[in-house]
Amino acid sequence: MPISPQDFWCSSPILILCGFGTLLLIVDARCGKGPRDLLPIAGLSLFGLLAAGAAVLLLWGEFGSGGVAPVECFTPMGGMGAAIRCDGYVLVFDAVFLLAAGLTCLISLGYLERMDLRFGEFFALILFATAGMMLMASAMDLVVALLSLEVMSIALYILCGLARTDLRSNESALKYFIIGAFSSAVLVYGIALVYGATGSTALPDIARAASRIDFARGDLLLVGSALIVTALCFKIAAVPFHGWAPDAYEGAPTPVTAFMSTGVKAAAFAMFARIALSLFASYTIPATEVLWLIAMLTMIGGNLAAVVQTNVKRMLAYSSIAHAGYLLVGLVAAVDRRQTDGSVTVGTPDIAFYLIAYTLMTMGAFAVVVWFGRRRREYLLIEDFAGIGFRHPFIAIAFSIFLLSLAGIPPTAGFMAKFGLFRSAVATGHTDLAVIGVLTSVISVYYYLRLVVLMYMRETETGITPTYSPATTLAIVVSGYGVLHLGLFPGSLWRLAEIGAQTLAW
Amino acid sequence: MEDFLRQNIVLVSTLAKAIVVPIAIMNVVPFMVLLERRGSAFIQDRRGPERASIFGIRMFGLWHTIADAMKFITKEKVVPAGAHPVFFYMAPALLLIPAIGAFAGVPFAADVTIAGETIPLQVARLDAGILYAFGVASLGVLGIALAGWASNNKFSLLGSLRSASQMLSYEVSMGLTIMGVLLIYQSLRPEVIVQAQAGPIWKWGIFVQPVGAVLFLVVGFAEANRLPFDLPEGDSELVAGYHTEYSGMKFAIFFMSEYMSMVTISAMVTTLFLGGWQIPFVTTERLHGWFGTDVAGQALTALCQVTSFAAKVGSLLWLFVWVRWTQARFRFDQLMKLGWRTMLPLALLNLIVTAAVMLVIWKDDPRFGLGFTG
Amino acid sequence: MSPLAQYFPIAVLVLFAIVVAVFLIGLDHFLGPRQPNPTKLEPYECGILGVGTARQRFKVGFYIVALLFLLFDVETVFLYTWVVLFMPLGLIGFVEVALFLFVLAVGLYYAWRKGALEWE
Repeated sequence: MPISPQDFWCSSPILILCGFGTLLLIVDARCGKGPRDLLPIAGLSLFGLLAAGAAVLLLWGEFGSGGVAPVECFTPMGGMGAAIRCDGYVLVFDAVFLLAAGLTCLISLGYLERMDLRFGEFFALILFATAGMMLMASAMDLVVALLSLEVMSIALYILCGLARTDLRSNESALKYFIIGAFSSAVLVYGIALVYGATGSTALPDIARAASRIDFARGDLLLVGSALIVTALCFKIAAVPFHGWAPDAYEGAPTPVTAFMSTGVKAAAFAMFARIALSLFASYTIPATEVLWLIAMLTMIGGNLAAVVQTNVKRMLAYSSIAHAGYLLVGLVAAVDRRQTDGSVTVGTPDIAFYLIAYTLMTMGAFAVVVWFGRRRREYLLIEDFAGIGFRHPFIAIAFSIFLLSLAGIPPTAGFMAKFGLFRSAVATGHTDLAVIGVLTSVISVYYYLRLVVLMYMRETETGITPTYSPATTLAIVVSGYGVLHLGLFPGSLWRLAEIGAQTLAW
Repeated sequence: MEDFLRQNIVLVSTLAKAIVVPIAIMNVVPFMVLLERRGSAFIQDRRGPERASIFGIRMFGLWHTIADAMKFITKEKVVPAGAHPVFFYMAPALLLIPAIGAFAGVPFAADVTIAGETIPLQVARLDAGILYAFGVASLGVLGIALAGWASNNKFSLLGSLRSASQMLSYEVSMGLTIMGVLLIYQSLRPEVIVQAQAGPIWKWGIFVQPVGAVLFLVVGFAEANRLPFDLPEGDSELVAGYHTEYSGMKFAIFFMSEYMSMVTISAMVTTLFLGGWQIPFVTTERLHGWFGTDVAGQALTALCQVTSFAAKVGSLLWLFVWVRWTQARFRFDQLMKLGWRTMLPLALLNLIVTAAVMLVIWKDDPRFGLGFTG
Repeated sequence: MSPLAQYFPIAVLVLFAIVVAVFLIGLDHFLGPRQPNPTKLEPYECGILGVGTARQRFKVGFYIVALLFLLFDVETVFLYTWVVLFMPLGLIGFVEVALFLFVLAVGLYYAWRKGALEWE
């Protein structure tokens, strides 16, 4: 099957981002390092993200709103499967990635100026990483999945170490790099074993071949699947593969941390769901049990560790681990109801919806953390936030909304999202997971509300006057609005997520 | 014995080629040294070495190189105290082996047919002979890097680092410059490329790819570590560069390898750009017409072609000598600048312009596809 | 004939080269006098007493060259396949390689402007 113009049209969001990333590198190479030189680069990157967003919308519109017909792209010659595909699931996730990237660009503009990190490459790398995430969501072949994962990860390794003179940033980049390389190696090994067992790297072929393998004798496939799941668990920072996350999140520049905990997580879950649903589609492997265990550990471990944190970034890092646990609950539900064609109706829409809500609220929370700083200085201790409710009431309200949403308290997006996940868990008979989820959410209320309490209940004399950045404020407003909107009127987006998830089958 | 030869002519000829060719290249080295000494004397308007004589026969100074060899063998063996006990010995070997091996893909005459068997006059006929040659030739940098590191001498280390970065820098351009020729001749096989240059002289690579030829020649000088690119040695800065601590036969191996890699590069330039063994306007068929196609005729044909090949290689070797004694050495920053900022963009440009031109020329060719329809 | 059989002469050649190398180094090892003394075995530093070892950290520029080499040479390898299949791949192949080379050129331009090619 020859490469057709349709292939390029269907992958246009990725191509647009790559093109703009390359353009940004050229522009950056021509720009100086003056105080306002970042502005055109940031503007261009936002324009690129908007263009990609427009392409996503057009694609969604073209395939019809009722059910987005999947299109297989870049099918090589010689009877191999398609490299990527464009369907509703991909487009929904593309929107999540673009949202995360856009908000990151907004909050980083002021941050980079303030912290003397005037690297135009930052925006180019964000775009490349986003392109990698989109590829991850649309990869139909394990090799493409690996490559896209690397495209995303390599950009992020550099972003983590952006603050070159900061020891913590270096530590973060190095830890992330080593663990990332390690988990990629595990993934490659898993892919090799799965290829050995099934004779293909294309997901539909793997599922078909796996159905002919007896579980008791399919040890090659079993080990391969286990390795792939392990590698992906590293990427989503699930307990017990989470050790790198707090240090990497804490040391990285704050906008990068925000991007890592939203975009990367969304991309890893998009890929995880697709691979898991294909890998286990018709194979009698005890996948649900394994994922059940990881989900439970992640929820409990992440929330308990977050309680004792005194650094906001670290606290949010552990909170993002905990949220990975909630998302895994949805994955357990989905894998439990897996069909032989890789389709599923339970769980995946909840994961998609949760990731949209989670992106908004986490981005918002990080935006407040970014906002709350001065030249070459960040205030990351929980104590630093004491009393800002009196001095900056609007920011404090926004931060409270984000934190309440993260804790899952109505009427915020976090509540609706969590509700959806736990409903799926109960519907598929995993009431125990739902109970653990609710209980750990109660624990999380403690550490989220502690910040709110500090903001409003304690007054301090020494007030910090943050450097004003309009872009960061805009990001806070946008995410605040999004969190409230999704909490009050979740219906339309919920419907989109469901339509998207319906197109998972190949 | 004769029957055995007749029956196993392919095997015997293969073995013979694999042994005779490297010996021949190694024997070019003394003559090359002589050429260098006499050539430099000629350029500098002095007499050069000519005094050594055996029974009054001076042989234009050839005895000097033989005396050199005797001296190398009988020199004292000095291994510096801090040198690595294994790598110090391994390094010269690692340089010599690729220098001998890289020549294997180069054809030096048209195929001959003896007793019904076609015998290619090239050591190995490979699917991707050009890639093999460049791959093996680039291995030489390992020996140099190892020599510098194993010596535990700062001059050596600096020399080997310089050498490594110089060779790496120019290798990128080398890969890209030959791409234009490969594109025009549509092959990675040296024998096919040479065959495509048969007949009139303007079919030679140097006329269809002039920019590529010049770039490749410059890169070749850099890869051979020859002046004006001899920074790895840079005797006024680094004593003798990576082989400062080497003496005796081990030094001689470095010395030989340098000359052998010059021969290899000249052979590659000849193959890619100067028509290889082709005699201008005189194709193999015409030679066969003159000499006949029996064994003697074929031998005469091959002899003519080998002579043509040797003449071309010899001229290029003389160019090496000529440049060495007339040009000054680059500074290191100039070298890197030339490699990355001039050679690489030019090579890229050359490739894309060549491709665009060929696209226009070939657009009506039946072999020309429009896309991935397979 | 298996594809590997064409490498038989290469194997002979390399074997021969190894024999020559070992023979020459062995010749050097066993012939010739040997009278070592501590001064003779010192690293040669033009007669000045050496300070410290030579195996220490060196200029970071060499690493940058190595990285650039890795990038550009690996990308060159992809072009070899295109070059020999230029005709069947046709216009689409040309356009794709042109894009590829464009990205390569952008990388070179970027490295250039950022001073990775400076050497002082």
